Amino acid sequence: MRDAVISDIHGNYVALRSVLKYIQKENIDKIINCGDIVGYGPEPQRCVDTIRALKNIHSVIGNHDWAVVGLEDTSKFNSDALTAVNWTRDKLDSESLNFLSTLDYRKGGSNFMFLHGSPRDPLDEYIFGISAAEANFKKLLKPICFVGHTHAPVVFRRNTNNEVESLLFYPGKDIKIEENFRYIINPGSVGQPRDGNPDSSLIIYDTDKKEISLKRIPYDITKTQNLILDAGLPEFLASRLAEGE
Amino acid sequence: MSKFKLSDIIAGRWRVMASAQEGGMSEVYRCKDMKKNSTVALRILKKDANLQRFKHEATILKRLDHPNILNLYDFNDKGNDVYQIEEYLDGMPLRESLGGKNNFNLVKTADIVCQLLEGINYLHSEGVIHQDIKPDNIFILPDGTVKIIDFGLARDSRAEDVPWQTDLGVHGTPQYMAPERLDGYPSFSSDIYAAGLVLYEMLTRLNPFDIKNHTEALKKQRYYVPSPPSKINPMVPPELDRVVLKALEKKPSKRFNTAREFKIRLNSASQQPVRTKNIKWEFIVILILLAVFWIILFNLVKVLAA
Ligand SMILES: Nc1ncnc2c1ncn2[C@@H]1O[C@H](COP(=O)(O)OP(=O)(O)OP(=O)(O)O)[C@@H](O)[C@H]1O
Repeated sequence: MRDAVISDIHGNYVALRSVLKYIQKENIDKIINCGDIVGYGPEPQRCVDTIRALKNIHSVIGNHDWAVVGLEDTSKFNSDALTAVNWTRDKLDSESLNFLSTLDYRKGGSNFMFLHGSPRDPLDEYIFGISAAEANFKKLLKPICFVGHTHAPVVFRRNTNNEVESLLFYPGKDIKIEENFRYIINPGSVGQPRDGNPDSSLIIYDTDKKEISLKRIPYDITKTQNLILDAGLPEFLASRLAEGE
Repeated sequence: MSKFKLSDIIAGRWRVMASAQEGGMSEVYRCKDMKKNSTVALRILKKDANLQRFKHEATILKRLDHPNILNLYDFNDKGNDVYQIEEYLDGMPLRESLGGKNNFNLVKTADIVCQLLEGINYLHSEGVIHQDIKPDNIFILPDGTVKIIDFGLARDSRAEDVPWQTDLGVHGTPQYMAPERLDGYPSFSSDIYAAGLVLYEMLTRLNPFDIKNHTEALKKQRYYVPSPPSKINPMVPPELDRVVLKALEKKPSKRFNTAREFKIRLNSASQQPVRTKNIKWEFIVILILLAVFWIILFNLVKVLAA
């Protein structure tokens, strides 16, 4: 089986469309979506509609989705994020809000689980470095955990001696999933990459070959930027897309 | 539309005596077992409902035997109909009596929760975690006996994963889920936490967390500290406050170690004199003193007048 793992679409429909086009060509069985369908981007309604229309997708809720529908403590949000959250809430119809609010915060399959932040704090914790990864490996319910939230692709691996390392991971550098090892894997972001590369990011997980590969998909960034500015959203949300940070 | 009607005979043995009660996954009929001439409940799986869950429940229930646990007599999954034959429960779920306007009764409340904890204690001694303790799954019979029902989420700690839960999704009732359950870790202590919430609700008629879904539960069960029940219901003695809040500790290691320990503490806390009783007692003492004073005064006046 070949699965696509995506995350952090953040209302960027132009980027989502390019990624889905790629996925369609790739003979994919299912899509695993690690959350934050909305927030920041200018087309939240189209993104939710698109996700809801897909038959083979499994999504969990992200902190922005939760902020838009729920009671997320937004005191930790920066002012641009907060502006976008409030703007997004107004733009979504009630069915979409209901859809987002009923998403689970954790899902999984036979040998993997996925959530937005981290196993010990599914909505809010960022796993940037080894120490956060180390702590979270202890909370893994399955050998592989896909996460999102940081908008940067990364693979952490724990070997049988409980040593944790972060592996080099870029397009063309596929990573073998080894028996008895544990993994925390972040596919990066579809709609707002922050690893210095502005292209949308996703992972293809080949469960037969036991291999993951990173893919970067370019999209029409200017188009999304114009939509952000037209919507009256903060300028920085547009400019950062071109920088990929 | 229910599957059977009154006086139908199911599998040549069970005669339908009352129309169906609908649940999410099953229909429940009161039946007469014509072989044994007794009353039973026949719980039949609805079309398209989760067969694995129903089977799983039957497997666990079948090996359990305790006065506070629903009794399963038989399970059939051959032929077209999948059903459980259970002890018929007269009475109603605790949820319904919580909704009523009946007066708060500390002794009765403690008795119900003590029976619940006896049932849970037995389950745990058998290696079973119920995982869905809540007022809807606690039946109160007319004689006051408590029966724990609904083992669809129960986990047999001696067995592997719950077979129909391999999706790792979050299963359970968010309003009653302990923090560690939300993290995906099964623990005997989660039943104690849930029983603590049931007790809280019986004492105050409120769930301390206003929770609508699992994500909200993740936040509130983990971080919100409930206010002591006596703040809401002054009839609750302070010692009982401590018992409830201990069951609701966020860390399993800070809760009661066993359901039995919880029960013993609940028992003694609920037998402490309640404030209203004190007031009555003091009132009587004052009345007696007044009477004595009046008699002395009356006699004094008589003596002086003489
Ligand atoms: N053994 C029993 N004796 C009498 N009534 C019962 C019995 N078991 C269940 N009931 C009643 O039948 C109705 C449906 O049962 P139940 O709730 O178990 O169905 P379910 O589909 O398994 O559960 P749910 O609705 O929680 O998914 C409920 O009102 C319950 O109170």
